[in-house]
Amino acid sequence: MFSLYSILEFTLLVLNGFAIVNKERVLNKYLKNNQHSFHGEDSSVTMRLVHLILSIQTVLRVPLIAINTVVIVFKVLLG
Amino acid sequence: MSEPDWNWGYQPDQTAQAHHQGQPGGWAPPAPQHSDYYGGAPTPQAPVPPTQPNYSQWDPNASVPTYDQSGFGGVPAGNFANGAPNAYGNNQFAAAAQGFMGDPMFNAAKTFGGQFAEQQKQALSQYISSFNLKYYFAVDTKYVGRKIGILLFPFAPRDWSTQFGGDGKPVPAKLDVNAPDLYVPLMAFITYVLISGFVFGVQQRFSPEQLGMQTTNALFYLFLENMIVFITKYVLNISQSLSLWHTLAFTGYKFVGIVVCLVLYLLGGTTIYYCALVYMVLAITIFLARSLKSFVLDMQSGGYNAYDGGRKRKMYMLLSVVVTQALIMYLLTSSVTSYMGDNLDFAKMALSKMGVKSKDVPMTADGEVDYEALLKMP
Repeated sequence: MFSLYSILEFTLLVLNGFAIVNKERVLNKYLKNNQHSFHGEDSSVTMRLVHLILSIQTVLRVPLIAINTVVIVFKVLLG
Repeated sequence: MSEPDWNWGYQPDQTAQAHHQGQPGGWAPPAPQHSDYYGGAPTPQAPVPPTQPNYSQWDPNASVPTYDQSGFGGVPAGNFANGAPNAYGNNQFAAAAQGFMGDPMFNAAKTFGGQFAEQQKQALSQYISSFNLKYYFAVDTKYVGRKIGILLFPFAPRDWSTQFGGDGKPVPAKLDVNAPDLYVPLMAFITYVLISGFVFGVQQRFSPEQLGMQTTNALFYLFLENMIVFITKYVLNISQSLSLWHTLAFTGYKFVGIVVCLVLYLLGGTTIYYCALVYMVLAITIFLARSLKSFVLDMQSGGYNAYDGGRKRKMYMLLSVVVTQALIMYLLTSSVTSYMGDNLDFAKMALSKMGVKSKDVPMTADGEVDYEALLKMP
């Protein structure tokens, strides 16, 4: 049904989407409620999603640049 | 073999010329370099024998032991002169090796390296805590038999809770049938790869790359599933008792069902395969639901988590994990079994997908498929 390659592409595009989310426009709405001072108390689902997106951005921004470059070169060369 | 010469033939009261003359083979190092090697230690003492590891007794404050002439001065250099000429070469290398091993600097380096490795391992094990794979492989035959029985027929057992040992840690698999293990999933996975290769061979489309492709495919689905469970556990703030190895074990149990389905496909054909698939999906679903219920909902481990609400979320995660098993089981076996074994399969597949159930594909005189007539068919 879905080949391995298409699932990998899907994850890459989703991660790209996570990395692009602009902190000021979208996430500040959620971050203003929270004091963001201590990490023991973010037990609601939305807060944990926000933290997940923030951590993905911090960790994966630079490696995603490299991976995207490689994938773009492959697609341009090999169709 | 007689006692090797710990001093490499060094006789401190010999002159250099007599030293060079008396030794056969001449591999024994000359005296001035010998003392330089030992840092100018004039009186050598008895070295530690190389076959005895006494790491725990090594005192870091002790100086490097020096040679004692008295113990080994008596081993004559004539030992080697007495050796038979044909054993001469062996004697030389063995004695050289043991002379090296008897070297106190080497011993000191070895014990110090051992201690250093121990310290690093302790420091590292504080970070990789609970990395105790041995727990998951502590199985015996009776456990494996009963576990496979439960996997194939989960309606019989009544008690699904796992027991805890004396110190609060879960009991290993030998003593508790409900404990997860990694042996059964690992063996089932390898069996799945081998049997799918066998099915390919029966269908005459086997090549060794197929084995690698099946392995990669199945491993990828396994990895994806575990990552989804991991992220879901974080986002929904579910308890800590379901560690990564536990989810790996539980997601690996479906390979037993897949193996049974493939074997039945070999024996019976497609209809038996579909019946077995439906039954296996049901069995795995019930097994996982009952096992994970005791893990996720009722586990009282840790003690920190006073926030024990969110049972609804946990049930959602549980159900979603369980339902995706069915999908993955179908995906992993469908590529193996959906093969119509005749060389006109493209045309027939196209016809059957179009809904035309005709058995005969129009052929040209050559025996090739006549595509024009095929396109003109109703």
